Amino acid sequence: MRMLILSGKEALHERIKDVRPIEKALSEYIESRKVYEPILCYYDTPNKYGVDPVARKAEAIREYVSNFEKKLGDFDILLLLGGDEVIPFFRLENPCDDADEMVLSDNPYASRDDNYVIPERACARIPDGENSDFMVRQLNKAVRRNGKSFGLTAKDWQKASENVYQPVGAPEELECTPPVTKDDFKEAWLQEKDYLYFNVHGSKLSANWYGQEGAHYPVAMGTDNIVNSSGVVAAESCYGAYIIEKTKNNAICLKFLAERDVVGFCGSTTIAYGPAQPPSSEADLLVKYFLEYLEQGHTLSESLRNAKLDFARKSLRRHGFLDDDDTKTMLQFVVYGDPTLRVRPSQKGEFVC
Amino acid sequence: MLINPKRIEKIKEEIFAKYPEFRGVEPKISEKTVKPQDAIYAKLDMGVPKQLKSIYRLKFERTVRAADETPIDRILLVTLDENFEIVKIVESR
Repeated sequence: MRMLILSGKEALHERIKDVRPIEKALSEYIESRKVYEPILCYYDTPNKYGVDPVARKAEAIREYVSNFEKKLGDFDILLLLGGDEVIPFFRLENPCDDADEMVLSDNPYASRDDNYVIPERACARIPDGENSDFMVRQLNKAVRRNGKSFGLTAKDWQKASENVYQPVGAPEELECTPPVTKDDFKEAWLQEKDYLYFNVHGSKLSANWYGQEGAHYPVAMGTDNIVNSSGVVAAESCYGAYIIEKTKNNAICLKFLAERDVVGFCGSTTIAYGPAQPPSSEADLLVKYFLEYLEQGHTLSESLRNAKLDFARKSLRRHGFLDDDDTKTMLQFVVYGDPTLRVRPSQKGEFVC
Repeated sequence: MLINPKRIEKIKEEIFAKYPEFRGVEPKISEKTVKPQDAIYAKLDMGVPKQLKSIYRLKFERTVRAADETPIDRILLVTLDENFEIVKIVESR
């Protein structure tokens, strides 16, 4: 297993001003993950490998990764260091007829060929949060096992959510919104957990997530409900992983990542879909597989890649093809955080390496 | 092939009963021919791809207001097979 850590020096400097704390943290990170033979490279500066620098454009950066592999062989894990302003998300044509003009995606970075719906590399991104402390914190995180999970679902999707949550928690313990609202949300629900699962509504315009019962959409939670939280977050909400021009004050995903003990966030960059009832499909199915792989001891990045492969296989077996919303699901889900972290030990008993 | 209007009305009745928040919304109906996805099958090391298929899609869409007045686009997608049977219903999260 080999890892490429990729960033843009100029863009990173523009975003967080002083990059020295990051470089120090990266140096320690690389030292502690020798088993992955990590290589750090900036796509916009010359390097000793003879790969020519490129501009801050998604296609060019993808080509840069490809050129790196031509020189040094394949990388299994790709860590994108920085948000959209440092390493742009791909803006892919939206296969669905909905309000999203494009689908923001990291899938092409995870794929070696033009068929980027199906990823080969295990890919994760550490957003910059416009703050070097935020980035350093992501590189220094470690999993604290608690053996407990928390799940929150819109009331109308309770049955569907129980099916997703089952690999990591007791379905009957899922909280529903309503009756839960932001005002009576208990901070302790998010503390000392291994997994935090959410199947609620989200909006690009709001820092809140929402429940549903019929035509009633209460505010289920907001950034201020997140205090001393822990675990891996898996969220199905629309725009759950949308970070463009967002901060930890107005994006739940960034607020979670700013927490010391939240080790990763898996979510959708755009409008996501799922069923109201089992069987699981779309976002439900993908997140269910993600949780299953984590529980089996795979890393964050492997779990999302493997979940996507299983999701595609299942969809093909069910219908014979990936339809528009299957394809969008494959493209829109990303994972933020250290790609090498595991919630459960690997088969070799390892947590990080 | 056009969907029989009676079949559409039947599906609408079913949707409005199960998802009353979409009651009164007129669906946008589309037909799509799905070509064999050979490259995807090959990349997943799966067998022979299925043949060309036609699917039909009924899209119900409306904007609602959450309790804090944030607008939320609600989309419900109903997928029908070549026999106009429902194969999948999903909604926006």
